[in-house]
Amino acid sequence: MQQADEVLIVALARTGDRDAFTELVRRRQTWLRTLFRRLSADADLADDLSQQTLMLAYKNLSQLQQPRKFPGWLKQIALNVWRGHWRKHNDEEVTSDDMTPEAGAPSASGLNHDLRRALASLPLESRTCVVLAYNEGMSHAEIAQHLDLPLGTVKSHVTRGAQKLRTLLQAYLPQTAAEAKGRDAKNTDTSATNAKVTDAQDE
Amino acid sequence: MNDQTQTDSLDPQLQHLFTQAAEAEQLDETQFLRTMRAQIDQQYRRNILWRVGLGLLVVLAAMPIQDVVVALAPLFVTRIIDVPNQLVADLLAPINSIGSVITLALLGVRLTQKRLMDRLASS
Repeated sequence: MQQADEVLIVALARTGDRDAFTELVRRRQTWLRTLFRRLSADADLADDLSQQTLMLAYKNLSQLQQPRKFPGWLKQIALNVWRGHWRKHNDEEVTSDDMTPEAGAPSASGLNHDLRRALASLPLESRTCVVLAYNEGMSHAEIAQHLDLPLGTVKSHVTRGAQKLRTLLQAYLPQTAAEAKGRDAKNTDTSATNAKVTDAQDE
Repeated sequence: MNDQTQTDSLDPQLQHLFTQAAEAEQLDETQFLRTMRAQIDQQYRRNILWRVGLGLLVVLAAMPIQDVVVALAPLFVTRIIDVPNQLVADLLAPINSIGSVITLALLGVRLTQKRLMDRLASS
């Protein structure tokens, strides 16, 4: 029903109905702004890019032949906007140390804040691949196609990026068996070393 | 586009974390909608102005354009090849004139442009 409604609203908006387009904005803004917040790690920039995307959609809505394809079409515009921004600012990007969260206990500002900071610590290309895979559920092949990157590069970015995120956000993740085992082994080693040191001191 | 393939192994815990974060995201909808509405209205006014301007231009240019067309009309129907046989001349008439050559050339340009744009869009 919701989908059918949206098709009607898109059809109305295509006729130039501003209220209908505003309704589309209302429905899609949370998804769009969240996507750009993950990609840019900057709330103000995310809102600017969201506005750019929506205005491009408004200006070109007459080119959308099938209203039911609106979500995918809007996503495509968003990715193009992001690629445009990325190409312009790729060289300027500096990952600041204060944006990198310390691995450990969850911060008082919460998961979203820490996730944004963790994502900000990834290089732009890697971050984009991780967000499109984890936030948007896009396949590696789709990401490679959208970003004009080799499939192997995308896979590598997603895997390494996810590993780094796991490390930075470990406080939010339940420990896996392998990690727990590794940690136990480390603790055992430390205990053994401490015991040896104590024995040596006693002697 | 939620079609992760079997080979795209993602960390399920991290996926869950992204979902949790998205659900917890708090955004100021009212302010954003207000800004967007203002931009939409501005664009709408710009479109109206542009159309009115174009309409005025057409009205102002209509008479001179008509004069030019009337002056060029005899040129458009001028035959390129003189065919002595009347029946053959009538059959070739749609393509045997300066007007038809211009029309075909414009159609060709349009077709080439469309193919080029399609190729660019698919690449």
